[in-house]
This record gives sequence, C-alpha cells and structure tokens, in this order.
Amino acid sequence: MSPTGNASKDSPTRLLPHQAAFVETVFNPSSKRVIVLRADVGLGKSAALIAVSGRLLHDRPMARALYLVPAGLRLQIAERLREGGVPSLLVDRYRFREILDTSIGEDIWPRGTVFVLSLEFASQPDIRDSLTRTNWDLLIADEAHVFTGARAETLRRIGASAERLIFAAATHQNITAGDDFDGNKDEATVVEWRTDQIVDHAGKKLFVTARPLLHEIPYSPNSAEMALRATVGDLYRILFGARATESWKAILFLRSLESSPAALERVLKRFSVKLRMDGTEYELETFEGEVPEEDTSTSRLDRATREEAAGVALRALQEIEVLSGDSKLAAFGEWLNHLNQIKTPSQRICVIAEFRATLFYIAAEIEGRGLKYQLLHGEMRSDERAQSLQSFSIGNGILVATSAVMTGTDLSYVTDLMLYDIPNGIGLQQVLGRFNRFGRLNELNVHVLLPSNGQTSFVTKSVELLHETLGFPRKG
Amino acid sequence: MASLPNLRVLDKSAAIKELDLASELFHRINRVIPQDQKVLSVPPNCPVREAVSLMKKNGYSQVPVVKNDEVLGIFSFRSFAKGAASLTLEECTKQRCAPGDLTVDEFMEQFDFARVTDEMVRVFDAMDRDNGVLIGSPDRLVGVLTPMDFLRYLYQVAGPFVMVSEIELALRALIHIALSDEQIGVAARRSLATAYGSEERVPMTLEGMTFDNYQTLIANKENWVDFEPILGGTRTRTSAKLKEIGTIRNDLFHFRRQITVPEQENLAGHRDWLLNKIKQVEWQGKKEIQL
Repeated sequence: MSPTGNASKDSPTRLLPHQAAFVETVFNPSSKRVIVLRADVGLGKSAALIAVSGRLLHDRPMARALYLVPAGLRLQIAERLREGGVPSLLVDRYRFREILDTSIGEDIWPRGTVFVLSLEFASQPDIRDSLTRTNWDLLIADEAHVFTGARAETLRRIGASAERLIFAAATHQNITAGDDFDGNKDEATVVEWRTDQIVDHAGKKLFVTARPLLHEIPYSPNSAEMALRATVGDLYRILFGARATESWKAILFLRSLESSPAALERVLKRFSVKLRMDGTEYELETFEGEVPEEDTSTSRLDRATREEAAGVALRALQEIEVLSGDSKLAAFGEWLNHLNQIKTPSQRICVIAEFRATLFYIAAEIEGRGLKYQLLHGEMRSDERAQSLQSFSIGNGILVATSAVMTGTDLSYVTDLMLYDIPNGIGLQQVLGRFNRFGRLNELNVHVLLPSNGQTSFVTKSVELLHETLGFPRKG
Repeated sequence: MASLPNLRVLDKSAAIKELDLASELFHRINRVIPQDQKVLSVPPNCPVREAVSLMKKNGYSQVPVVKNDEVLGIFSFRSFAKGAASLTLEECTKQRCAPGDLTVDEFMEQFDFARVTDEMVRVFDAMDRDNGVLIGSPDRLVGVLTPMDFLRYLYQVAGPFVMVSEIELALRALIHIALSDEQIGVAARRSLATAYGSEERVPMTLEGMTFDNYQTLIANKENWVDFEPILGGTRTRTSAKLKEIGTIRNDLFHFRRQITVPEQENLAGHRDWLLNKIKQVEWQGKKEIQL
C-alpha cells in the first residue's frame, strides 16, 4: 500500500494522535498484511477506520475496500463514511441485485468504492462466493470479536486474497478471526489503545476526570408482580428445557420481565401470535440489541410443549392486564423527582432501555410527570437522531435511548446515566463507552434499579457484570 | 472495471433511509422479490423425484433448470403435470421407468425474463400466463418472481395504512363511548390547551384532532378516570402504546421511512388490543340490556 497522503488533513474532523498513528501504521509498507486494532471503548476506533478508508481511496482512486460489520452497525458506518466524504455503498440484497443487473462478468464490485456489508449478509453463500472472487485492496472487520464459527470462515475466505486486512475490536474482546490468517496471530501487526495512554495534540492525557459512581436504587415488587415473576419463571423453564436453541428466547422472557410490563407484554403477545399463526414456528425480534447467530432461524416445538407454553403465556398476559402499578417505574419516578430537585444548568440525564416498548413506556412516564424528553432508537432516521441529540445537548429534556443506537455517539456531557435495563456483556461496554470517553469533564453517575426481592439469576448476573465492568465503588 | 449506472452511491444530499424509501416508492421489481429469497436450481439431468423433493423442502412450486450458469428453462409442478398427463403407458414401458425417474429437462417450460429495475406492471401478463417470471438474464439469474410475492409485497406496502386507519377509528369510537361530546370538549381543553397555546384554539371534536391529541387526551391524569374502565391496565402503559402508534403513524403518513415487519406486527397487536376493548364494551352493553 502507498504510504503517501495524509489522513488527518483530508478528514472532516482532525484525528487525535493515536488515530493518526494508526492510519500511518496501516499504510506503512513494513506493517504486516493483517493489522489488529484493540481499543478501549470510546477512543474513536470507528473514526480511525473511516479515515483509513478515505485515505485509501484518496491515494488510490481505483482501489476498493470491503467493510464488514455486525448488522446493527451497518447504517451508522455507512452514514459516517458518507459524512467523511468517502465514496461508499451500503449493500443489502436489493442493492446486490442491482449490482448484478448492471455488471458483466464475475468481477461485479466496482472500483473506487468502499462497500459496507453486514457480516450476516456477507455470510450468505452467493454473496460470500461473489466477495471471495474479488481481490480487495482493503478488508475491514469491525467488531471482529463476533467473527467466530461460520462467520470466521467467511472472513477467512473473503480475506484470502485481500491486500490488507484490519481486525478491530474493543480491548476486552477476544479476536479469534485473525488467527487463521498468515499462519498465526504472531504474523499480525497489533495496535493497542488504552484509555490511560491517550493524549491530545498537546500531549496532555485526555482522561483526567474521576471515574463513574454507581448508584443502586432498590425497589420492592408487589405481590401481583411477584406472581407474574413466578409465571414467567414457569415459561422460562418450559422453553429452556425444550431444546438448546430455545434458551436465548427463554432468556428473552426474563430480560423483558426485568425491563417493563410493556416489553414483557410485547414479547408474550408476539410469542402467542406466532404459535397461533404457524403451530410449529415462531421467532421473537422485539429486542433492539444483538441477536445471536442461531436466532436467525425459526425454532420448532413439539405439540405438548407448545400448548403448555401458550397456556402459561396467556396466564402471564392476563396477570399483566390486571397489574395496577409498577414498582420499578415508581422508583424511577422518585429518582427523576429527586434529580429534578437538585437540578443544575449542566445536568443532562440519559435513560437506556433495551426494548422499544420500554422506551415508549419510559417516555410516557416522563411526559406524565410534566417533563420533556428526546427519543433515540433504531427506527429513527439519521437526521432525526441528530436532531434529538442536538435538542438534548442544549438541555431540552431527558434522553431516552435504546442501547442498540449508542455506537458512534458522543455523550460525554451526560451527568446522569440511568440503566433502566442493564445491557448484556458486549452492549454494556459499548454503552458505557459513549458516556465515559474523552471530552468528559465531570464524573459520570451511573444509576440502576434493582428489585430488593425476587431477583432472577438474570438480574444477579447483570449486576455482577456491571460491577465487574465498572470496577468502581458502590454508592448507596 | 464495472460501471455503476442505476446505483445510489451515498452522497451528501440525503440520508440512507431516504434513499431506500425513494427506491421503494417507485415499486420496481427488485422490491417485490423477497429479500431472503434463495435461488435454487437443478441440472437438466436431475431426476424429477429429486427435483420435486427439493421443491417441497423449500416450499417452491418451480425451479430453474441450469447448466453451465445458463438457464435452460423451468421445471414446475405445472410443467410436470402437463408432461406427465401426455405420457402414454407405451412410452413409459418403452423408457422402462416411472415418471418420477425421468429427468427434469423432459418437463421444462419457458418463463419470461425481467430486470430488477423494471416496473411491476411490465410482468403482469407474463405472470398471468406462466404463474411466474425470472429476474435477470439467462446467463445471470437473480431471482424468481411469483404471484404470491406480488400479493405479499402489496400487502406489506398497503397493510400499515389500513391498520393505522383501523386503529384511529377504533380509538375515536372508544373515546366516544367513554365521553359525551360535551365531556370531550372539557377533556380536550384540560389536556390540550398547553399544546395549542390557549383553550380557545383547542379543537372540540375528535375529527379536528390529531392522533397525538388523542394520546394526550387519554393519558391526562384527570381524564384517565373515564378511560380506565374501558382501556384497563395502567395509564402509563396505555399512553406508551398510543405514543408508539403515533410515532409509527406519523412516519408512515408523512412517508418518512418504510415500516419494518416487527413494527407492522406491533401495529397489528395494538389494533387487536383496541378491537378487544371494543368487543368487551359491546359484550358489556348486551349484558346490561339483557339484565
């Protein structure tokens, strides 16, 4: 690759020294073919990868690059490439057909473009074969820790003839996909970004603020809520015991139960409808977070299990219908009132939910208390999201967001983060990285709502993960 | 180098989702082909029994016959039935095999080809005649289109509009059940004055209000006492449902974006919830009359 050009000069935003150094490493002829970027969350990994893409096409207008990302990130990456002025194309099945329709021969991928594909789409046989037949000048595998199993095999095939490959992931993630390239991982150039080593252009450390404080807010589920917990527990056991592929869906019931009655109702209704529509198949896609690979297929339950599960689901729906209150939401309301009483001009409150139904549920509660809010979720267009963030940044309301849209967002100015739902392992790191990142001036207050009784194993594990991730002292 | 005609290269002029929407508004063939369609094919020497088994397994009623990446024709239940019906016992005896042992190339028919950029109407006649069309070209098969694909696509496009209208009318009906015309005026002034700037500007009839107004009117703490017996549940949960419907409705009717399948399912769920409430009210009314 050509070492010429200057990414920082051509980028719309000035790269920080560690980002600019990474770009230089990629284009340094002495670097290995495979480059591994391991970065703490919130250090601008995506911006550096966009800069690399831009630099490649600036130096070599006839080059072509492939940018593989988890499905949830593809829109954001495509938008950031566009914002960076990098000629790029987001490819899904429709666009792939158009490419096929307008090309001749086997070499269908036009030069001078960065193609963004979800790794799920790239793993489909015909797409994978087409990508494999192409000699890529650059292949970027973002969030490379998710490239395991069949996905790693897809990456190995597509990247076999690529001139340069970049595997990027958060520091705490285990990247195995790169192991199969060029013999072993010793053959890769490894770049690591650690939070405590990052400096600005003047050489000053960027992370000088105190670490976040964790505030655990207890609430006591009432007897009706405890009964509902028991019913959902029954459903969990039926599905978890049915077969291995049901386990994630069984956990989804627990996640939605812990989230809100609105989320649980949504999940239960969809489950019931799917069972009715096609007695043997169903899928649940109400969750905005990452869905495991195996969940893309539908599952089959035997008749007896199906009938038992349908009966318990109906009972749970009836129990939701007669719920007269929500102790978690009540605790949230009290917390809001408390923060409102100690309000300062710089106060910015963000609430994170994992389910879209919970997002609207929280918004309704905030509105019911006469407060303003801004929404941020996966179905909003980029300009709507930007508008929400702009309004929020100037103090116009509370930001209510789903964790799935957090990537690439700078929320370093938020003072109070309420994890209404605690995201899972990968999601939690990603979410916290949006808030606790360079640019933060004051310590971040992280708040969680925890049931004081009837905690499921899911909650216990989530709290353990939160403690482990933060590694910070608790505050009562 | 391959060229890029007809492709929407991302630029600074518009957001990606808007570009997708623009493509959808023109209702080209590309959008009608199911996104997850996997094109199956069989070689010409494939025994009919195997081809039928493959088609049944994948839920297809036809399969392209391909040799050296070239489409030779289509093997379908229809083409097989036609061919098998014309077979005589003498021919079967002569070939010393059952129809299922014969190869698919003996039962092929021809479909028209269309391009992904063609308009839908372009294939109507061929679809009517053959029950399907091939997308792409003989040496580059992109997809297979059937009448069911059209039906599903058109339902996907029109379905949300129909559901939102059902929801809006159902909600109006429920508000009318809960409140008299005079009470609607009082409830509207109480809950919407802030939004409209003054009580005088507040619309007094449901027909003059927006969907968001309905949500605000129902979710108002003082108004809720009249709606709770009908809608049940909690005020926040009901308000959240209406808020979500309102968001989808506004995106839909202002053509901001395509409504996703899970959102369509949510709309259907909310519609059924309101339908259920109306049925309960009707049932309660009949019961009271009987008493």
